[in-house]
Amino acid sequence: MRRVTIVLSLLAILAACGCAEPADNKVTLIDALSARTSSNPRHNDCAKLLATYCQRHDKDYALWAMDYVSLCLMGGNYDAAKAELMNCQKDIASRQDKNRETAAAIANESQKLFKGEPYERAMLCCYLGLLHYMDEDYNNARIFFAKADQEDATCGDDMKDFRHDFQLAHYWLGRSYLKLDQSDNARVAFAKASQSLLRKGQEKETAAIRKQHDKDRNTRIRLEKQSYKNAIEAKPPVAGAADVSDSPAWGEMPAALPYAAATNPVELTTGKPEEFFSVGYQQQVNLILFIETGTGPIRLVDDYGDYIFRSPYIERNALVYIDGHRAGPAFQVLDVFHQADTRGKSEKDAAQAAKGLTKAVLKQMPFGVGTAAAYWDVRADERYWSLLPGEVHVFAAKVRPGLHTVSIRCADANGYLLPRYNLTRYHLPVLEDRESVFILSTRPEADNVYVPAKN
Amino acid sequence: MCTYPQKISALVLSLCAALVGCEQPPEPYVPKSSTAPAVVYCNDNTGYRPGAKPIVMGGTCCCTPNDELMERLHRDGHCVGMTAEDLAQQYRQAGFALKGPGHQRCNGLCPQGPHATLGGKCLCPPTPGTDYYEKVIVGTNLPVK
Repeated sequence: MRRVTIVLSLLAILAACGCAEPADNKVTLIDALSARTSSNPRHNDCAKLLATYCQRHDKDYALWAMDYVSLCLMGGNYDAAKAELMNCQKDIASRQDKNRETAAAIANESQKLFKGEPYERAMLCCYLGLLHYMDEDYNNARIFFAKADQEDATCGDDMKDFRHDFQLAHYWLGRSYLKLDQSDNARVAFAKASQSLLRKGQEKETAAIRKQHDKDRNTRIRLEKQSYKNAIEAKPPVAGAADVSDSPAWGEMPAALPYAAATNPVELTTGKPEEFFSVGYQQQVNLILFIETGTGPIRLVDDYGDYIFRSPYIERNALVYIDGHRAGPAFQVLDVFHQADTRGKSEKDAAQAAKGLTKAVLKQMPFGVGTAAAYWDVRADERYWSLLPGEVHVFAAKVRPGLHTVSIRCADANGYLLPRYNLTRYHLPVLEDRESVFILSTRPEADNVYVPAKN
Repeated sequence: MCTYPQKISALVLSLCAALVGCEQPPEPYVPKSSTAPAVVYCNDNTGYRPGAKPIVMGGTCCCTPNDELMERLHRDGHCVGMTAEDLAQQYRQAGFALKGPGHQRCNGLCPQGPHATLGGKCLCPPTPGTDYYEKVIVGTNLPVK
């Protein structure tokens, strides 16, 4: 029954399509909402488009603001992201609309003001904390990271074990405490950041993903070989085309890439979680990479409630090279699906199920009542922050000051390299007297400079 | 303008579009150069490039004027006799928006954008780690995907 309703709601959504912006617009909503998976995202144009939605300040304001913020962060527009995050956070905390609440209580849940789920609000606070941290405003950063933990703690009673497992917030809370000379608090925060709790069904899900990625790898190797063959046999052949069908295990990746600089700029790094999440190590690092991979969970709805699914992204691990030298792995500190899946059940969910059940009963009634009930829209709230990443990984090391080339190598759930997800960034400055924090987002084809021939 | 359900449709459509054709060989892969291109236009993040003249004077320096920068410019024979405020004033008169309160990390998404090296009037240092940063420091001659 549940599967049928999910499929039906998916079909209903597709049928309700018609969202394309006018043809004369430079970017469409589809461009904006697929920015995380686009091979050529136009962050600024997409952000400008979503800004027009934010300006309406309607019931969906917080939702558009969240997507807008994601675009700004991916595009490096931190001024705009910070301003909108502050507005959004205030809006969620203070805006009320009783009429909409009442309407949502008896009809479609998405009529009320969007305020997000605990994990979405926690993420919003994390971004705010991070931007304050990058501005060296460590006390406010601490406040926002602590608030992220509080937001996470608002998940339902059935998931109370997961109320303080927002590792991303704990990690940055630890870093903020270090800056505020509170190393004891930092130690506690890093300890929490290093703990990941297994949720019900997680092992089974991981095994299924691994099996799927194994299958995908075989297909990928076959198609990449074909792609390379096509490229070199084209007339004229594609200049500079590379064969990326090789998908070695992560452990087989070389210590230095062919173009590596003569000297390794990395002075301190670790691959051990227990060392990484220690005060001693974190006090010494001067380069921190906040690496977002994949795409956030998807929410589908029916009359009885909403259902969250992991989106099918493939990059599950990240390995960092600096100036061509292997610098170590980035540690996963957030799995957004895990957070979404452990939000728990609330009174709202029970009320939604009751609405759905009432509708189902009424639909069986004679004398036109059933027909009228069929038109009663009681769907659950379908809104969610669609531009969230799937995961966040953090890399931290002590690196010689100067401008460096950072390359991220992604791997699937089985640890096999995904060359199409390589991300190379030139001239990242590591400063002498302060730490450098960079937000990077992986995406397919980020390093592919192939330009199709124009007809 | 779209309503929220249409937003969902857009998202689902984009996911479907990503899935369609997944059995097709992908487009050729031409890797980005493994060697970092030279910094042509310097800014606060890349640090001053010796010899560069301020962009407002037709040069390639986009650094925010301050005493340290002026010292280096003077050493290279540029802006002799000028203070940081004089240079900032010259930028303002030419219509450029320098880095300042509320204009720290816009990455081109500001009313004065895009960056001066891309034909705009924004002189906020670009955000490292973005495509935009790499375009700005190299100038307008980067191959566009």
